[in-house]
Amino acid sequence: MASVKSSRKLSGWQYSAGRAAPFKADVAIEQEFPIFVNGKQLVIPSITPNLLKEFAMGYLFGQGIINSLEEVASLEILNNTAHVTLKDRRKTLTDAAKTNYRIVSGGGKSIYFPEADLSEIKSDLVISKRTLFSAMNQLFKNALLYSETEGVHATGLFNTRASPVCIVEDIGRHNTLDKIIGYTLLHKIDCSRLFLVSTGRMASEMVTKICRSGIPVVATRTAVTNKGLETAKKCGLTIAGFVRTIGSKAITDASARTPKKNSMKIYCGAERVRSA
Amino acid sequence: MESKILEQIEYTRVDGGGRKAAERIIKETALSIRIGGKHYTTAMILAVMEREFVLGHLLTQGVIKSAREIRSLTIRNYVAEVALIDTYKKQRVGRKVSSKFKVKQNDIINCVRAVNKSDLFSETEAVHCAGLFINGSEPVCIAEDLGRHNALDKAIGYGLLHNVDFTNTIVTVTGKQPSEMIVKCRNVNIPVIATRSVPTTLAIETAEKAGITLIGLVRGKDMVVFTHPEKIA
Repeated sequence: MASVKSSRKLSGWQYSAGRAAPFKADVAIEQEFPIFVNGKQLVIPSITPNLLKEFAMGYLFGQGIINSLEEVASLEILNNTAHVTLKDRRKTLTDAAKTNYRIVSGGGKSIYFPEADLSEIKSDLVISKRTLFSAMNQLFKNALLYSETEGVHATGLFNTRASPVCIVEDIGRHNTLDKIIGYTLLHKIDCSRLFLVSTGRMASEMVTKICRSGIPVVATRTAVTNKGLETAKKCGLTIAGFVRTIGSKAITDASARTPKKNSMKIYCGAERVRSA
Repeated sequence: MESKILEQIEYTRVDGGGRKAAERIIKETALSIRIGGKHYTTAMILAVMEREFVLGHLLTQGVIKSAREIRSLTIRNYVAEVALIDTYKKQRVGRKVSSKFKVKQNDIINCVRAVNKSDLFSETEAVHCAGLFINGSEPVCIAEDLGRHNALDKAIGYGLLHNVDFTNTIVTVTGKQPSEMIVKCRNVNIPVIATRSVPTTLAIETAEKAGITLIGLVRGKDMVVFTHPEKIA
């Protein structure tokens, strides 16, 4: 698994009861990462600069700009910029990006993607809730930056033995998912037997991206929205929410709580989760 | 009446032997903004304070510099039609906030606390809050949304509708602070931003250049000031 430095120690001043003292804090790295498609700038996302190729591919796939790796002639990363050439060299998307962008709840901008194009997820995967809890624990164990700064999101892709295929941390929950999906594309991984574990909310665009990738199950530490749920039901995605495990600190803005027992709520597709 | 922001749904309880239970989850609504008849953007928002959101968004994105540049704004079926004045000219937004504002440590703590006690968050854990306060003590608006960027746009839009002088305000928000949040505050001349959580590296760099005081980890009586501590009284 890739491990790239994704935080930096920065100095500030700690104020405590009227006194100020120098202070060093771990801060998640945010960097602009422009993506050019067929020579034209498509978008400038803000990301934590690791897994750049994965991000570029996952982003284009998640936005519906490509449907498979086969449509890409070349992908080069130069000076923190992605240069993608599609086999269809005449395809330009800058107009769509400029005038038809959408604001997603994570704050990023995305290009309009018709949800009607989504098809049903084909998978006979069944996993136990114990596997989901175990994967969530591993996500927290591996998500170093999450525990260091609490300023990031983490998402992991796991197999049925709860072994991680790929774990990613980034300042944006959308970015973590784009990187994971990009990873599956670049490594030609069959997603139908794998599942996702995430710290992020399952709002409409997150769910749309997962459904597009064909991953049949997602477990999140937090909530789902009505649009997210609607899309998941339509595509046959299983969503488990509020997956909280003993020992994992549930950090919310209001407080930090330690769950007393393992718990989760299954919002849809419960037939894929075994209770044993 | 059906709620615009919450939807009752059924889920399966895993600890209760697969029994069904019900709860309310957050509703996402697509709101489109059109300027002069042309699509500008569509945002997934929590459907309250739509007018404030549209005005705030146009202001924080640097499309307008004041409410006077708007000739009309009508919202129907979640489509906001914006008409700008005939003499509208896109101006460049300032790169720096100029303000002599100073804020007390205790006021910062109180303003951060005020956005961290949302009932909607307690129920759903799916919303962010942003608050705008004059002189660090007088609340102008506390807004909620699915996204912290949208919540901030709403609070700022409310301030715009009520002629608030942004150079004397502090903004507090839930959640981490990426650079885009700082850019929004810079574009409307808000000099101080504080959060219980943490900023990113680019947010700190942006705040440093813009002359904005960026405060994180506001917890108990402690806080970490990342940039421009001179505004702390």
